[in-house]
Amino acid sequence: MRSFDAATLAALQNRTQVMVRILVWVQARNRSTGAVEALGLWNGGYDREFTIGGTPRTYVGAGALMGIPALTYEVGVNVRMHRLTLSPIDATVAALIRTYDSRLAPVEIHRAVFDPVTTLLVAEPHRLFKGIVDELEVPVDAKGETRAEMSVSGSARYLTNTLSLKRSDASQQLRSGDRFMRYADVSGEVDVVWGEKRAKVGGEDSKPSKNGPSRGSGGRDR
Amino acid sequence: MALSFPLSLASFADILPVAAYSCDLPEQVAQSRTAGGEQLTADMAERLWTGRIDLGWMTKSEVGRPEVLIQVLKQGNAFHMLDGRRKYPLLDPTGSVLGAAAVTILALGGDPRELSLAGLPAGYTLSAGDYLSFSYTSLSITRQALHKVVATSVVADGSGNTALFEVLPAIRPGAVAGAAVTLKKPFCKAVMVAGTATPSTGRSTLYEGLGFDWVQSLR
Repeated sequence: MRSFDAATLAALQNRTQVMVRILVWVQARNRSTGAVEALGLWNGGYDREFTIGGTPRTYVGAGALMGIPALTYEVGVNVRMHRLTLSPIDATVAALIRTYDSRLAPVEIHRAVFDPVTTLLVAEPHRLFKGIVDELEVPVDAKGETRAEMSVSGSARYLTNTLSLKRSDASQQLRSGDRFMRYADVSGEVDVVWGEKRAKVGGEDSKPSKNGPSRGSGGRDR
Repeated sequence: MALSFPLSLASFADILPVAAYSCDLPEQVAQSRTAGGEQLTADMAERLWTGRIDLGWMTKSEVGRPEVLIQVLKQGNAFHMLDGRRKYPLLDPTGSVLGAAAVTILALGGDPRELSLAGLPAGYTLSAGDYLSFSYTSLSITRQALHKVVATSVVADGSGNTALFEVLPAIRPGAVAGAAVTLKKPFCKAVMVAGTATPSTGRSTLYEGLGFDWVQSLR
């Protein structure tokens, strides 16, 4: 069960009115520089800075973010996808699509709770979702209407990383240039000679050959 | 010279021969009722000034300029718009009492609904329903705020300052004390609502039917 801070809990338990906005934060790679840059969208009416985790983040509003589906939470390791609807004619969304490579970019969804009377933020926005962008597509339907849809997957997606993705030379070099995994991709395929015998993959053929040492010394090889 | 946008009041809103104005701040709420009769509401979106302008009967010589400007602005270009029913404060209907006074924001309240003004003539009174506008900068973009006075009456003291008073809607982040405030023809930035502009229909000598809906734009 999610635990809220006291101010958020009081605002959500208020039986007269709630005022809630959704914030989406994507850390995508800039296609021209390769640097990871962050871009925020929210469904408020104007651009605004929110401080989350001690860091101010700029979220772009006024129609950039059009729809958030009902987020589904479940127990287990299923990779669940959600589709966010963005405005295809918004300049910020166009930048997200064209200047940034958002494939597999980390994405966070926060919920900001406001006081409906004073419109003041009651507490720091709390996180609803953390995952990665699966794809960002701009489908055009038969009538010529475009949509921009971003599908995001939960962090369970990380469990589908294969061994070679996690234990490759490239991934190991991300840790201060460590080359421990330099030969990881050819391990098991190259014969290694220990002393006089060749160790074969699978270890089944370790019998001495016919032309090997004399019978009397056979025991020593074993 | 080609037009530059947003079109100022003097080049668009002030020259329209308006027959009917409306200006409203529609609610943006979802409401649901429980079986127990409890009314639950949720604030869904930003409240923006909206309105409709219907132009009156015009002769052939009058219709040309409003019609072509509306056709230019239909394509989504921005313009400045005001509530024509209350262009000046109620108790200063021509703006002559205010004169050339440089009105500024004295202070912003801790509650975003409140602000106070400085630089008014001594004893100057704002009434409920008067408008005020000022520009503010949010994330290095200059925007225009339009607010309506909620307080019954706001009277400037001998030095031209007012106490904190309530305005509608709540003041958005970015407003700072010292910003110049417009009380004469306060305006907001607006765009036409696509599909709402009605064309002019010509009779033998008179033209009628021109009008459009507009909505505030915060960008």
